Amino acid sequence: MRLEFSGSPEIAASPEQIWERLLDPNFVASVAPGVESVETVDERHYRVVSEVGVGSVRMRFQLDVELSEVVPPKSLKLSARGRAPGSNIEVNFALEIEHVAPSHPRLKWGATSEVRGTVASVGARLLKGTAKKLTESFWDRFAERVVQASK
Amino acid sequence: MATLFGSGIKRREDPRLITGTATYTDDVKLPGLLYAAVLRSSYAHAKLTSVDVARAKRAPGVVAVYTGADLKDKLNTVPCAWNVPNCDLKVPPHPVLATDKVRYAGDGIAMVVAESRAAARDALDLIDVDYAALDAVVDPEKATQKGAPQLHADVPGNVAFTWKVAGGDAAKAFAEAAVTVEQRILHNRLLPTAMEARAACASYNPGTGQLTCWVTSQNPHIHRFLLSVMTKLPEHRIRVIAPEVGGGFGSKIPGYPDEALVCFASMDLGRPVKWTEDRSENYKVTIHGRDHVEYVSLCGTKDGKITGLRTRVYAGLGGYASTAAPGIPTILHGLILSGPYTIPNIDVTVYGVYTTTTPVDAYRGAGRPEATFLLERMIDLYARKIGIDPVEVRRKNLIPKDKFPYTVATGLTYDSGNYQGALDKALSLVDYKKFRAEQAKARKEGRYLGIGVTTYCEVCGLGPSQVAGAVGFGGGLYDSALVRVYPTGVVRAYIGAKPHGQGEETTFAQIVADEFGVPVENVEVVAGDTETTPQGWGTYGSRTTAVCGSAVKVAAQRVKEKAKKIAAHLLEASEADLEWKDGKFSVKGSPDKGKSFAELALMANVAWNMPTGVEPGLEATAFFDPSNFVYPFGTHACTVEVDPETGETKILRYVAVDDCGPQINPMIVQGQVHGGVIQGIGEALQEMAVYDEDGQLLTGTMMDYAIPRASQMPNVETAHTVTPSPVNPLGVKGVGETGTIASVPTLVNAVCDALAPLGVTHIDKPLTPARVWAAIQQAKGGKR
Repeated sequence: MRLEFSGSPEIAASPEQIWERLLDPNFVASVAPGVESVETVDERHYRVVSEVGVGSVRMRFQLDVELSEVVPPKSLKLSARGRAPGSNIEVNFALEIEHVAPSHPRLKWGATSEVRGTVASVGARLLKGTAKKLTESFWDRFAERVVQASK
Repeated sequence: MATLFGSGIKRREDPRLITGTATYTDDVKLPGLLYAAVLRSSYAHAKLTSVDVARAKRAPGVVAVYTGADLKDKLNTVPCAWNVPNCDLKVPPHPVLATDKVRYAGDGIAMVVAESRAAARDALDLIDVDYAALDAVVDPEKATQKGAPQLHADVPGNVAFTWKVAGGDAAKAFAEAAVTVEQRILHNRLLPTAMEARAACASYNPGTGQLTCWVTSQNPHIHRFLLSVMTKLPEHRIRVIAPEVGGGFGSKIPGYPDEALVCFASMDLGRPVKWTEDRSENYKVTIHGRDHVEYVSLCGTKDGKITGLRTRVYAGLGGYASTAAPGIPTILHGLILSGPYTIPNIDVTVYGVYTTTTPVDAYRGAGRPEATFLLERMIDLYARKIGIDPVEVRRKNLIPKDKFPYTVATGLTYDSGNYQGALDKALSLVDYKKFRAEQAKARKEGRYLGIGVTTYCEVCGLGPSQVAGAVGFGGGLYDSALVRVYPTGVVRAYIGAKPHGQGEETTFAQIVADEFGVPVENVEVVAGDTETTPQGWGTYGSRTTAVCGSAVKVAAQRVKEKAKKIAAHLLEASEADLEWKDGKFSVKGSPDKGKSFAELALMANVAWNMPTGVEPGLEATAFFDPSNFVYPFGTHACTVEVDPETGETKILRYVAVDDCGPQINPMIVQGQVHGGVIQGIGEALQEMAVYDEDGQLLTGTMMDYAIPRASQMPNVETAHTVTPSPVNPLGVKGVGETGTIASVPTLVNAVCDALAPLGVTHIDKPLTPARVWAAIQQAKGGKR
C-alpha cells in the first residue's frame, strides 16, 4: 500500500541549529515515536528498531536507514527499508530547509512509503491516519525540542 | 404411510452443529500431534533472493522448517485439473512453496512444524526473507497489455488461454441490427468467507505406509487423487476424511499446497501434523471468486426482439491456475450466455489472465452469476433504449415452454422449463403494475423507487461424465451411493458426494425411508470418508441432489428389488403377484400375510432361508451418471428506494420464484434460496475484495470486507413452480446456486431503474452508497 505525505513546518531556530539536530541520530530517535534503538553503522548508515501499532496490529520493524545527497545545512534524502514479521516497508524521504525569515526557516519535506504484508491487509483502513498522526507528532516534538534548546 | 418426499422436516444436522458437538478438522486431536504454520509472502510479485530459516530452526518447540528449495524434488507441483480444450491453455508450475519467485501476497515461502500452534507461529517471525520487488498487476485487462509485468516465463502477455464459442452469425446480426447497446461490465472480486476456514490434519503410519488426511473438503475423492499427485503416494494408501465441513461455497473444492505440505511433514517426521487457517490467512490464500472485466454488446429490433450478443471477457485467474479455474469463465460462463432466451447469434471470447493476486476459482454460482448478470443488465439497457418495459422485452425473448428440450446458440440443450409460468407468478406476487403506479407517483414527489425483474436459467447438476471428459474436466461427474441394510432393518447410505451445509443427511434419508417404508430416523446418511464411501465427485455445481440423490434412489430401488425376491420366496408366491403397500410386500389380495421391510432385512442378513441363487445380505451400490445437465430457472423481483442525498439503497421487497423441479424438502429449498439471495445482495451492494496497485489485499479482515449483516437484509419472499427434469429419476434440479445467480442483476437493475429519471444508466457493482451518490452527481452534471 502506497502512502504519500508531505509537510512544511516552520521552526523558530537557525538553519544550523536545526541541521545539527537533524543529523544527530540519538536526538531524532528521542523525538520519533516508537523508536527503541539506533545503531550507527557509519555516518550515513543506521540500523533502527522501531515499534509501530496500527489498529490491533503491533509490530517491531528493523530498518536499514541510509542518508544521501546531504547538503548542509540545506537538504538531504533518506531511504529506509525494513521488515517486521509478515510485513515489509520502504520509505523514501526528502527534506529541504527554505529561508523564509531569519531564524525562522521552513522545513519542506515529502515522503513516499510502500507498505506490504500484514500491516497493509489488516491495517489498511487505519494506516494512513496512523502514519499521519505519527508524522505530525514527530515534527511537533522535534520543533519543540529544537526551539527549547535554542533559547 | 405419508410420503416423506416433499415434507419439510427439520434438518437432523442442526442440533449437533448449533450445540458445539460436531467434529470439524481442527477438532481432530491425535497423540503426538504437531502444528504447522506457513510463512506467506508480503510482496505480491518479487524474486526471492534469500530465505534464511536458521534462527527459526533453533527456536523452542520447533521440530522442522521446510522451504521451497527443500521440497522441490520431494513434492510435485499443485495440479490444475480442468484442462479446457482448444484454448491453448498454459498452466505453469505452481510449487507447493515458492522457490525462486512469489506471485501473490500470500504465496507460501516456508512451513514451520512445531510442538504447539504458538511455537509454530512465533517461529515464522524468525525467518529472514530477502525480496527483490517486481511490479505487480492486479487488473486482468491491464495484465494483457504491452509492458505489463510478466508472471510466468512461458506465458507471454500473462494470457493463460483464449477460449471462444460462437453460434449463429453475430457479425451479421450486429451489422444488420436496428439497435445496439454496449456496456463495460465488472464482476467484482469476492471472498468466499465460509464460516469455517480451511484446515488439514495428516497422520502417516510408517509401519503400514498408510496416510490419513482430515481435510476441509467438498470432494474427498478428488482430494485423495490430488494429494496422491502432489505427495507421490499411491492413491490406495491415502485415506481422506472430510469430517464436519462448515461451508465452502466452492472454496473447498481445489487442491491447495497447504494440505500436501502437512501430508509431507507427517510422512517426513512420522508424527501427525495439523494446519489451521486463520481468517486473514483465509482471505489471502483461499481462492477468490468472479473478477471479470467484460465488454458486452447486445443487439435487437426496435420492438424488443434480441438478435445478437457479444462479449469479450478478461477473467482474472490470480497468480496460478487453481484446480477448476479454467472451466469457470468458459464452460460455466460462456456456454450459458443465452440464458432463458432465444438469442440466435452469440459470440464469446474469454481471455484467462494471470495477475499477481490470490488464485480465483469456483465461488457459488461460478461463471453463471457473471453470465446472468451481464445478460440481465444488457436487457435492461436495451429495453430502456427502445422504450419498452423490460419485463415485456424478456417475455418476448423467453424460450416457449413447448420447445423443450431446446438447444441454444452456444450448443447446450436445456432439459425442461416453463419460464413464462415463473415470470407470471413473480409479477403477480410483487404486483408489478401496482408498483409501477406507485413508482410514478413517488417520482412526482421526488422519491426514487425502482424495480428489477430477472428471468434466469442456469446449468447445474454437473453432469454427464462423457461431457466432463469432452470439456477437459479431469474427472467423472457421476456420483454414487451404497445403501446398506442392517439385520434389524435400519439403514446406512454411504454417498460419494460431501454435503457441507446443504442438508442432504436429511433429504437423502427422506428418499431412502420413502423407498423402504421405514421411519426416517431408521436411515443414516454417511459422507466424507474415502475409506467407506464409494468413488464420487463431491458437492458443488448444485449437483448433489440431482446426481448423488439419484444414485441413492437407484441403490435403494436395487435393495428393494432383492427384498422383493426374498419376500416372494418366503410367501411362496411369484414376484409378479406381489404388491408393495404400507411398507410391506404381500400377495395381491391377501394384505394380512405381508412381509415388512424389517422382516426381510433380518431374513436377508441371517440367510436362513434364501431363494436359490440369491446371495445373503441386503445392500446395493449405484453409480448414477445423468444423461444431461439440469437447468433450474425462475424469476426474481426486487423493489428498492434509493436516497439521492446519501446514495443509500433500501430494499423494499424481494420476491424469489424458483423452479428446481419437485422439492424433497421445501424448508431446505427455501433455506438455500434465502442464503443464496443474501449472498447475492452482498455482491450487488457491498462486497468487494480490493487490492492496491502494488497487489496488497486491502480488505484483509472482516472489518474491511463487507459481508452482509442480518440487520441489512430484507425478508425474502419465496415461491416456486414445479417443472420436473427428465434426466434423473427424482425429476429434481439444483437450487444451491440459483439465489446468488438471480439476485445480483435483480438488485442492480432495481437501483438503475430507480435512478432512471436522473439519467443514470449503469453503475458498477457493488452499489455502495458512495458509488451510487457519485453516479447521481455525475448524471446531474450531464457528463453521461
